Amino acid sequence: MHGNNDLSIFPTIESYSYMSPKRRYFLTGLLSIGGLSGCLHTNQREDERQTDSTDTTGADDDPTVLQSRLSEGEPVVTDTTNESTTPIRSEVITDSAQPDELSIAPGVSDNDRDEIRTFLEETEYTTDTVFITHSRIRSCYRYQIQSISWDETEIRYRYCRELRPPEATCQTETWDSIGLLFRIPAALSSAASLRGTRGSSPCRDSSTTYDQIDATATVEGNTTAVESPDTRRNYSGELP
Amino acid sequence: MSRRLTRRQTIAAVGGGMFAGCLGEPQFWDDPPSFDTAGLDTVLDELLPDRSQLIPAAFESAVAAQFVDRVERLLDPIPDPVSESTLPNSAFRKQITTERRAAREQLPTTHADHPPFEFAERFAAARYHAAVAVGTWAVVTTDGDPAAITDGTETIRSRVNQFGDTLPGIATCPAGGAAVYGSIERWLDVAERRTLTGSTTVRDEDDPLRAGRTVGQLERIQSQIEAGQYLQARYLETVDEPQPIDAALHTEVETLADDVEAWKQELYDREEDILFRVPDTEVFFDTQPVDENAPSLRLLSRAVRRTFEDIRFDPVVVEGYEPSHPATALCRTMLALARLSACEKLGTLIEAGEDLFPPDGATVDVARQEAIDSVANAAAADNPLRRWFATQMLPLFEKPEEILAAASATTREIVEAYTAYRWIQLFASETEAVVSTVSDGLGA
Repeated sequence: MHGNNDLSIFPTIESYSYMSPKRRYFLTGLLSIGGLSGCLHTNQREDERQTDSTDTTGADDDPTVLQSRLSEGEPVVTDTTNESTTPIRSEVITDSAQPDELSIAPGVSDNDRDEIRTFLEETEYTTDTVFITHSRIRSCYRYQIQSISWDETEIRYRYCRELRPPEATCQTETWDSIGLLFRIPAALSSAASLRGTRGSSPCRDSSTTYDQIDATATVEGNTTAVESPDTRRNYSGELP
Repeated sequence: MSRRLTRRQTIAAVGGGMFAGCLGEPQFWDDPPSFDTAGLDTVLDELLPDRSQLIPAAFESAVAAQFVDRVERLLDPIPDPVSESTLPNSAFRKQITTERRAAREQLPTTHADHPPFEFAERFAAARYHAAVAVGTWAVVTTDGDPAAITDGTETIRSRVNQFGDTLPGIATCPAGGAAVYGSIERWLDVAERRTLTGSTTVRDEDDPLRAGRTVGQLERIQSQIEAGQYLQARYLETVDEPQPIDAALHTEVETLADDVEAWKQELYDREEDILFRVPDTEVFFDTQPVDENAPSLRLLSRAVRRTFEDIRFDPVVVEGYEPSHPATALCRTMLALARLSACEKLGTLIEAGEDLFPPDGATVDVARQEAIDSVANAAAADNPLRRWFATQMLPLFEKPEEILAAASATTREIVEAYTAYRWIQLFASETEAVVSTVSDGLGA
């Protein structure tokens, strides 16, 4: 097994995909943050990237998306406009002033908080849009975001679900909330909203490494219990 | 069981059934009769019958020890306990610890008090659970290889085929051979048609928990092959005047196919290939004087659904099916025919107004006692096919016993337990007729 692992070095921000050439500066900036090296999905060549977009319609099969997990089940990002705090179910951020109206839940780690702030601040809202939404997932599982598509009014994304690596601390019976922050390479209207999601489980051809625990699992001896059955008569029924 | 089934006025029955579910029919549980719990406190006092003996031989201690040793070897690499600091992800931790505990629970504590087939089933279950545990552990460890724990799919499939080619072997009589080899063939049949047809390759990119379970499934089949070969050898030691039974079983299986066809004519008014469709319960009675959802109707519904699920998925000789394992095909077809007969008996009770609602706990107690007696008689019978049926009936106690053992069972649950006991008694009665007919056909 091989691939990226995030949780041992980066406990809550779970996925950060980046491929767009015009955002290379952003990637460089993030790479300077030590903990992110395991979270970047950079295994796809840029010329292979399946993006197809016009001004307001497009799709991205390797989207830039930030995930932040909150075990309390509360939304990671809330809207603080109108002097009240409103949980965000889904919201489109279209200008650089809008993030000032967002607050991050107290339970979010400092590391995640910084990443979310950086993500929002470094977005070029003249050409890109941030789409924020939330989902729930069992504590020991995580999402892999597979694609996102959009038009003037609707946003859709696809995901798969898989087990988190063995070194991720989690409890099987509890649920977490996941804040998903997508950077969409198009300047969308604030009227755009989440239209739907499609998911599958488990992820096929996962690149997650599960053999992380430093131990062996070698079973000694034969793979059978009895070497050979007692054959005082053979099975065709012929007597010896 | 009569070879000539009474042909029901099927169309009339179906027509009658069309009205049974109409709106406005009284619903049983809207205004159920009163139930007196008196007698329930001692209802579980009588012990369930022991599992019947199919082979007059014991599972030797030395051989049993080898199976136990394999379970222990499988569990040995797993740290005990598996702490949160060792394995923080509790989904993995839970599967490993739960399966390890289940493996140890399956190991018999003594070698004297279980029939050899029960030993074989316990060892298969123990090895399954132990292999799931260590397979899951192997997935998460740096030096672990889940594919190295047990033999691969192709190797095991080859062993299944080779072993299957030796069955059914010789026996004292066809009925005795059918009971023994039918039980062994059943393991191979399930492995071939269910387990080994699914995804049984342990792949890196699989769901890691599923990868652990796949290791367990392969280990279980391996255990069944080893135990099956051992039991076959033990059985052959007891055969004094051996005779081949293959031809007799095939002939009787063909006869049973005619009986199933007769049921098809009974249940459906068309000649088409529709036996795989679950018929409406109304075909088993002409009139329905009991309220909708009465316990007897719900019991019949469950029984019909289960019967036709097995006809569809088990090696029951229908629609020209050519069994690859004649002994198990004979047994599973007998089972289907006995269930169909029991459904008809239950339909007759419903026609007579029986709602199967017990007035009190004492009635439940009596029903349980009669069910126990029925299975105990079958388990003690000389005819090995009746003893085989006893092995099929004993698990039917599990659900009602669980209900009655619960501290806060509802009236509805108690009634469900009662109907389960009545079904065991009904079913047991019909198995006698089926066994008698099949034994005659086998020349037993």
